[in-house]
Amino acid sequence: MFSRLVKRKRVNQRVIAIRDRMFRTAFAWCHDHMLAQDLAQEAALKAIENAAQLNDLKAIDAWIFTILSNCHRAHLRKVIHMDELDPDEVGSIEPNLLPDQVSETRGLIEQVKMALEGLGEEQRKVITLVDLEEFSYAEVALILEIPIGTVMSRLNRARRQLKQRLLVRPIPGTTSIAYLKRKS
Amino acid sequence: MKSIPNQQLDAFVDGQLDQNDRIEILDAMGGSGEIRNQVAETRRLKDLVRLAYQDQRAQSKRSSQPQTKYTSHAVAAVLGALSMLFLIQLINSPAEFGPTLKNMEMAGMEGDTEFTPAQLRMPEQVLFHLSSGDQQVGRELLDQVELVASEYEKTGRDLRIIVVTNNEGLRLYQAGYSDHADRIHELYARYDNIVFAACGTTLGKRIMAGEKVELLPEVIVVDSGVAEITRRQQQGWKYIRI
Repeated sequence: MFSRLVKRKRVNQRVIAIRDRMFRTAFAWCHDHMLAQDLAQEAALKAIENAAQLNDLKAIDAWIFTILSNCHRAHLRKVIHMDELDPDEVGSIEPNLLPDQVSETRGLIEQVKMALEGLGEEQRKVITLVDLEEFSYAEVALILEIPIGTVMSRLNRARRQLKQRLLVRPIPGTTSIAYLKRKS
Repeated sequence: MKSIPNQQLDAFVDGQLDQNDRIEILDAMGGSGEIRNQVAETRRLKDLVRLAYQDQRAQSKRSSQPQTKYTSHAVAAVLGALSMLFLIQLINSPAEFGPTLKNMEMAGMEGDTEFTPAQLRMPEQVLFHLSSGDQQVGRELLDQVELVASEYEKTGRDLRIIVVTNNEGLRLYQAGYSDHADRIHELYARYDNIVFAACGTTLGKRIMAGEKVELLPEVIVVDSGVAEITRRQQQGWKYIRI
């Protein structure tokens, strides 16, 4: 059994160590540098404050990301009326908010970001946690507080949509199709 | 011809299946070009998603090109003193200004610690590769893994390690054969950031040949050791061949 002090120290250290990952994930979710910083910081503080509630030290990352997800959701509730939207269908990010957008030539990365923005909020959260943070499906289920089946169906739908946008349609001005279909 | 549900293929690409299910899909891939394509596409998509957010560290001094050159030198310097030199370099590489424990202390943690994208950096990512079945070599590998892990932990820097074994190297992960099962168990329990990965191709071959292979519980199976290594190198992971 770990004492409160030990847990708090551990969470403190961990939160510092993974703060860049938290920022990256928060950014992937909202595509807004300032907001992502706020969310990451807020989640970091909350994690330290609530360290005593952490039960399984080995699952510390998933626990911290759960807090991050909750902070993100709380933020959304302030700006959007959640019951009006189907979280799986609507892309909630304004494409114009891309901070480092290059207007002339859209590189592959920009295309991918645009495609990700077009996903529903919940789909984007799932695919970020799986592909970027490489959490297991079980961990993602915990973090987002949804059943594991929902994780898998959202992930699959997200990937199907991305494949439509990125791997099928010709992207003007680039040879992205050939590039994407080339065997690596 | 067997048809595999899409979500099952997703789970395969994400490493979420157990050994038996993985082998079933490897099997199906062997017999179906379409399934192989689907897997390749999903894998490609995963890489693209990662790529899309890696440029968050665009202001980092590190780019993948110089790393690749350096690691090919490291490959040439396989065992012994030379690989130790590389490890020492790795451990002592200048910590970029980022939210490390040290930097946070210097910045005065209690105040507003605002970090801008320039200050953010990705975790160090190191892939160890073993294809020798020699127990002594296996021990040296684990020594190096532990050395790197403990050094990074001391400095509070973020680190990810994958240890891939293929061909004879698979023996390290084989229950009843490996001399180092306890050590692997300890490392796995001690460090959150080490992944022990066995090559599914090698495993598949052994099983097809009628051998009973039981892997240690801490080991996950990746579809192909070489594919995993290539992917990670493309993502900018440092590569150490033991």
